[in-house]
Amino acid sequence: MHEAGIAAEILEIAQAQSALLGGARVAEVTVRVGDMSGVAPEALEFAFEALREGEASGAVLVIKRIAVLARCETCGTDSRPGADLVLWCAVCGKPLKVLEGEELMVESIELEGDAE
Amino acid sequence: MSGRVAVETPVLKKNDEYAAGNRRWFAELGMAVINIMSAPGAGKTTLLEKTLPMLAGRYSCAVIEGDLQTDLDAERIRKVGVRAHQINTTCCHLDARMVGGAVETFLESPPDVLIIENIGNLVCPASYDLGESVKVTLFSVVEGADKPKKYPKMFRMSDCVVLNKADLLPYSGVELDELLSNVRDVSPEAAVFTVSARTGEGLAGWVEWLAARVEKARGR
Ligand SMILES: Nc1nc2c(ncn2[C@@H]2O[C@H](COP(=O)(O)OP(=O)(O)O)[C@@H](O)[C@H]2O)c(=O)[nH]1
Ligand SMILES: [Mg+2]
Ligand SMILES: [Zn+2]
Repeated sequence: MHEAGIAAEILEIAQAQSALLGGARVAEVTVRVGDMSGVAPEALEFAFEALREGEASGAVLVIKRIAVLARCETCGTDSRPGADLVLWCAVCGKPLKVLEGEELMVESIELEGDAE
Repeated sequence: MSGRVAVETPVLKKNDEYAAGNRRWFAELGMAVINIMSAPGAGKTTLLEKTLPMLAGRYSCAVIEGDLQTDLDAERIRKVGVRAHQINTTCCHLDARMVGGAVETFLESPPDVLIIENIGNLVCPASYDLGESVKVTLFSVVEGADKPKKYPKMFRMSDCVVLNKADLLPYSGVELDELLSNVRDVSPEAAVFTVSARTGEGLAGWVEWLAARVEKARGR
């Protein structure tokens, strides 16, 4: 269960941004979570709500799930491996490179109201 | 100020930066660092008890043991004549800062090879770069053939997957071919070894591979 640690990092990044911009309240935090990031979205939501405080005490977490997108660097074919996660090129049989689906990023935050 | 602000920051940026610092430091020390990850009980400590004596003639070794509670694993390592530092943490993984702190304890004579036994967990450690040169996933065959597809991240990011407890295959109901093909599907480029840390079967191939990676990491 490392989602608590992940949620704490997300909140810290959001609060640092808010502080940088004069301490406005954080209304929303949008993150991108890859299907192969090893992070469970439900657990992350739960931990985020439990840990919110300060400027982010009312923040809503918006999770954009990113499906796996892979590319064959030999023949250039892009593919979206399904749940079976075969990360080999169906065209030429070479290993695929994962372009999307491993990310764990804070994309943006929504600030509201005026700082004093 | 109000409205939407683009952030575009990796969630684990702080750890990633710390790990990058570790990596530069380990390179300066000429130290190959191996991070071994697995579920609890897959046999990490047992594999180390067998592997370390096979490396000892060639390299000076040290071990960092990550554990939730006890000092028992570090004691097991010391019994085979290798320095060990125990990190006890309530986290489900080691992070780069904890490892950096533990390495300080070896600085009087830095080892050629530092092996990190991560906290037993098939998910969390995969997210935390430690600054290591080589990542290894250890998996005991009795955990089931489907697990590489259920927990792909750790298998995919590893340079090597060691399938342990091969001696239990006849009793496990697990088809080795199915397990091997699931590992290959998610991690096409990892080296894969099937071993028994208990009987010693298959360990020579794993140790040869590891020694080659140690040479590469130390720039020899
Ligand atoms: N049958 C069998 N048991 C093993 C093997 N390797 C480790 N074990 C046993 O599995 C248990 C857990 O091993 P340990 O090394 O402590 O696992 P760790 O938690 O990953 O460090 C112990 O009882 C070991 O004796 C193996 O190759 N075959
Ligand atoms: Mg152990
Ligand atoms: Zn191809």
